[in-house]
Amino acid sequence: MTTYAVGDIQGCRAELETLLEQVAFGAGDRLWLVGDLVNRGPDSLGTLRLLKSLGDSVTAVLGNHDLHLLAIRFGGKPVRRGDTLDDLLAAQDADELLHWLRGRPLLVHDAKLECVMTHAGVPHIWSLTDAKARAEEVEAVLRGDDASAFLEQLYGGQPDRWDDGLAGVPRLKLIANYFTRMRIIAANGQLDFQHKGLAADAPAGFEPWYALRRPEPRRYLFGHWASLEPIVDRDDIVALDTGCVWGRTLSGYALETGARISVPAAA
Amino acid sequence: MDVYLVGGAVRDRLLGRPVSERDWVVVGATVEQLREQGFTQVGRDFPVFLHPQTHEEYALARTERKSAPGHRGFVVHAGPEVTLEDDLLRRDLTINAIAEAPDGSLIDPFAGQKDLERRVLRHVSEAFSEDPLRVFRVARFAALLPGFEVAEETVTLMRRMATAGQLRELSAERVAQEFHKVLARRGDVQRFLSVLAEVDALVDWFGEWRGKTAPELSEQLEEAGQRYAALARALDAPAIAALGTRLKWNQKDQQLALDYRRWYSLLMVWSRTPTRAVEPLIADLHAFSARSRLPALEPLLRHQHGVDVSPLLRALEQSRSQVTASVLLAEGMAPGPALGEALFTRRLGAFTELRPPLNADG
Repeated sequence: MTTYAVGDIQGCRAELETLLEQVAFGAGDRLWLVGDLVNRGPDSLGTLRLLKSLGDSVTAVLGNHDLHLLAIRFGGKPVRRGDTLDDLLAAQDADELLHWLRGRPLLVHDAKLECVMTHAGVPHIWSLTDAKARAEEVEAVLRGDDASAFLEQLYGGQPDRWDDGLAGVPRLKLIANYFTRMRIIAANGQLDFQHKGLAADAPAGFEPWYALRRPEPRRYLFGHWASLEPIVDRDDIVALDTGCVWGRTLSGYALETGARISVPAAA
Repeated sequence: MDVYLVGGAVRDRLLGRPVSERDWVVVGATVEQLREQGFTQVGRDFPVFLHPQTHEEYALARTERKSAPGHRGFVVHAGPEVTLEDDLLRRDLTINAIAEAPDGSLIDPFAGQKDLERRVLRHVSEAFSEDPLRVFRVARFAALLPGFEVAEETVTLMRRMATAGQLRELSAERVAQEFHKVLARRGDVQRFLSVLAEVDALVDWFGEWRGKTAPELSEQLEEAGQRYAALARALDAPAIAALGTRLKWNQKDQQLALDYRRWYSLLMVWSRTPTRAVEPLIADLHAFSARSRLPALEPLLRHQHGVDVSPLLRALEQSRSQVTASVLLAEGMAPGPALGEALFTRRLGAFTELRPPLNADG
């Protein structure tokens, strides 16, 4: 049995299928996904159908694009230019798939594999216990009756710095931003959403989140940062977004062995 | 050990054409000697190396003898005793069998320079028939070197190879690569096809082109895929599909060719065609979608027909952003097929308003 973690799919279903074929994914194997399952790519609908059909063998965390889709459906937020979600929203099984999606967590911790998976990362200002509790706060709201009230106000970069006293939607929004949109962070926990480029070009006072995070447990898996170059070369920080939707590659990583696999984006 | 420039680089320099890549042949050396000098071996079956600095190809002089069908069915012999002339003898055409010594002097045992002057594609020896791909190579040279004719005896030999069924041994990838080079280097496709027709070599790989004439291709079409699609106008859709499958042509170009074949005539008159007649095109090309296949047709229409479809693209894009799924969800519509249909209908309505007025006298 092998656990394969896979980077941002963003509707690149064909490449995901190729990757699963190449690793001979079978009964007993598990598929972990770092989120951004949908949008920008050609087949978000097929991607969600495939993942849902794999049942319990799939463990996926939510990414910012997944939250954006939920905000369109449940929060009345507008479709954006460049979104490729029409086919999904026009599908017979759209609502089943969207309900499946809203039931996904923001953070997954596997003690046996000594591993935490989130879409963007985990801020150093939280212990692992804190981080898990805060992820659960948002997960509970997403699954409950108040999801719309939260998703209606999902967007925007404020507040951008954690404070234990934060409450209500601003608190939920900032938690979601740490887990799904963070790239660089200041020592005091402040986020900066403008910077999307190379880690080395971060503005003064900011560093990639993983540079400040103490490895607890042993490994962090994340996606989100396709322009992260050179890719982090550390056993404890596993960056998996290699820009499949931008014509580069879809990356996989076997948690038990540490082996990497890469599938080129289809022409 | 002696090193000579050979093949296309010598030929193109003598023709006054730009030289793209240079191949070298090494005489009087062993594999070990080249390795010691830092060359890296790249050929699995042949003693071919890359220069440590320039990364140009250096091959040990070799002889080849056919041992089995297929392009790997050769017994290769390389060694310090193989001469330059031995190596040139195994080459396909006389114009490709000229070597240039470091002092600039030419070694031309098969009168390749004379054939360059007379503009003749002539095989070096009967060994030509040992690699059936050479039939397609000759057609490619004819398409890329203006004014060159295939020598009569070479035509006869090529026809013999074709009628003996030798071309069927080839892999789709190798045949397709020759065709792709003609397209990518803006060669004369009609010439490629007519050389193959002359030697009865269309049937195995390009059967759909028998009796067909290639349309003229605009010089402005920059990509091989666009040129491939522009050619498709001369074929019908099943023929395009059959050809693409056989040549294992890439999916993207293949789709472009089929789309162009199906819709170019409607797109030529789009500005004076009512929306209800354009609707099937919009549906088929998913033209309201972010992954519309219509933008890829824009350069073909512009360069092959002088028709500007950019106002059409703009109107479609505006309709798409004006009517979004969010608008319908906000109106209380649930996700599902009805939402998809409503999106299309409403966007079509918006498009009718946004498109330039019908040009009646167009």
